[in-house]
Amino acid sequence: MSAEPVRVLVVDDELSVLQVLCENLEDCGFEVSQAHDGEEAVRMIEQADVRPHVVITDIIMPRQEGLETITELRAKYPDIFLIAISGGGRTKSADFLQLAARVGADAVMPKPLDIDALEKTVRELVS
Amino acid sequence: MPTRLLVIDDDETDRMAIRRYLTRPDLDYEIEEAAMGGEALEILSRENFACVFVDYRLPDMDGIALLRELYDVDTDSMPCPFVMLTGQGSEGVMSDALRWGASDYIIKDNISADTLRIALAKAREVFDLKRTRLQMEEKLRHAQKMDAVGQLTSGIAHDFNNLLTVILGNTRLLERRLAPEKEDIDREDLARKVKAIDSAARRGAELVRHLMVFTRQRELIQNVTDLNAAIEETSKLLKRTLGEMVDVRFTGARGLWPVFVDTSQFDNAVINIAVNARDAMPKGGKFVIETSNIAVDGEYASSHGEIAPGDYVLVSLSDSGTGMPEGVRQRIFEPFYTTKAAGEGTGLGLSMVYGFIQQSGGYVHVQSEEGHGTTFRIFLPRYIAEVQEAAPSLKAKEVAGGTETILVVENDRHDRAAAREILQGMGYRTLEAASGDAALKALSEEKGAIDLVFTDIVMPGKVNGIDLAKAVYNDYPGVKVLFASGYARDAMPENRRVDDRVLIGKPYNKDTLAAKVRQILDERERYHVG
Ligand SMILES: Nc1ncnc2c1ncn2[C@@H]1O[C@H](COP(=O)(O)OP(=O)(O)OP(=O)(O)O)[C@@H](O)[C@H]1O
Ligand SMILES: [Mg+2]
Repeated sequence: MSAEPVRVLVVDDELSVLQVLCENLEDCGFEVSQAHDGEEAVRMIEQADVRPHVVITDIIMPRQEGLETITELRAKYPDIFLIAISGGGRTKSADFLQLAARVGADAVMPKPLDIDALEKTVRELVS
Repeated sequence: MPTRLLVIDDDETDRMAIRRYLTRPDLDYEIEEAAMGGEALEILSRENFACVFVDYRLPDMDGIALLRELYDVDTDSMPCPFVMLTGQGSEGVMSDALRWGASDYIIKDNISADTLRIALAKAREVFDLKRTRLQMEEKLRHAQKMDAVGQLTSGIAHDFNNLLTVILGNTRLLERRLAPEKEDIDREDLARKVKAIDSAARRGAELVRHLMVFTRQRELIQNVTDLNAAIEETSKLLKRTLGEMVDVRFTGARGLWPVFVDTSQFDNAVINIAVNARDAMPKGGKFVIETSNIAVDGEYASSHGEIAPGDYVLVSLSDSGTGMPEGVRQRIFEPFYTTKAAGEGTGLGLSMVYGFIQQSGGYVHVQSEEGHGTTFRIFLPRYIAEVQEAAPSLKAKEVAGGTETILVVENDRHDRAAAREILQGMGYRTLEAASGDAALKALSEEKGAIDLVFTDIVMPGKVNGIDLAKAVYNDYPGVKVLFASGYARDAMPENRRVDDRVLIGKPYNKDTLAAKVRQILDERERYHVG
């Protein structure tokens, strides 16, 4: 492993979820930043000096659907790893996680999230 | 199997003609006939037909009236296909016939084998098509309902999974920070994590409660509630949850009347309305809650829709948001009605608010102006302490009995026995009479022994309670009278009204009867009756 810490951007509209995820990922030794929705996430990446290695994004969010965010990031930044997380879509029959994988997520994880599994996934993707 | 037809016509020649036209060796029709509408309805209540031909002119009712008897407005359907037979030039009848469920019509002058057979085929086809359409619609409605249920469950699942993520994420943090090798333990940090777990779990419980309220599996827990106190509490929470962009204000009227509601459901209602307000103010704004007492009179009532006159506590909740068009305003209380994107609204918020208000005997009125904002006015009936609360104080005094003699006059055997039991239990001596006449007889026989006549007002026979009292007042100075009545005072005819002080309403209980008896025996004067 290089000396450079792994940079992770977490995107979730639920504040309490966002906070607990960030804190856990920090405990794991990652360098963590947060965004409350897809638009903010895209803006942050565009403006940042250094891009995150991994973006973890929730799929249901106001303003910019997680799926759109994934599609957009995949197109603009093919080198960023994308993890989609979801607590189950509110729309019937559509399985959002499957959709997320189809539009380019490198990994998908259902909520409630297993923190250890999330950490493992992040490490596996960047290694 | 033959195809069964019914012909309703009072003219026998016409019936015969139809029968003749429809009879052909290659067609297997079984034709039943009726001359009157009533007779036809009777037959139709028992049997079904492939088609019914009905003449517009019938002796006992016209053909339209007959159709209307059978037409089901809710499903827009008839039990079987109908063809109306009308005279030339009666367009009104034809369109009415179709309006009330007939599938086709024939002008009587044009009746022939061909027109009958064509009408028969057409009517059956139209009828079948319509029935298929109704079935499809029913299926669609069912599917929509299932869809709605699906959306509800997946919405709840989504919220729950988020809460569980918070809980599990925090327990993981605690675990790491409490690990044995950790040296410096930041107690404040730990306390924050515990708090986060606690509030996530509570929100989960709240969510379940919402769901239960919605599916009506949980009864209302109604309490006498001070809405000002309830809103005060909730508005603190709102200030936190609505974010800094929304200015939350609350002004409670002084001396606000109490109401009788399920307080936690009231809180939910306020929160639901507040969350909608926030959604309607994406750039922020004001959310103002006010309470006041309001006596709704007839005039106010008629200008505010269906609200019944009476005392109410009014809670008004206003936002300075986008407002909504009239078409939306009319539908907001429908379950699952939402204008929000899939995943953002279940459309259940206001339907729960509405359910709560209805169950509390209240009303809600919504005013909205596009571009300016929305005001919800909730009227909840004022709570007035029941009379029962006075009863314990009466009881506390321990009602005194006595040893006087009371004549119980009552035609109902059970009521009489009940009164006797109570009075004897209090120490009184009792005599009984089943009618006014019998009472008068007892009075004259027991000269001087009777202290009080306890009589029903309404009794069969020549002498009712009032007559009896008048006789007592005339002939037996010293003897008191107490009336019992099962009727409301105002329901009694003018000349049978008696003073409230000597009247006890049925059914009465032991304490009220005992108190009344003692009071009357102890009073000097007697009261005028009739
Ligand atoms: N204060 C308001 N201003 C403008 N529109 C409103 C307001 N309150 C309600 N509405 C409209 O009424 C609709 C129904 O509201 P309701 O609370 O029942 O469902 P929802 O908010 O869409 O979903 P949920 O409450 O389940 O998240 C909303 O979608 C919105 O269009
Ligand atoms: Mg709502």
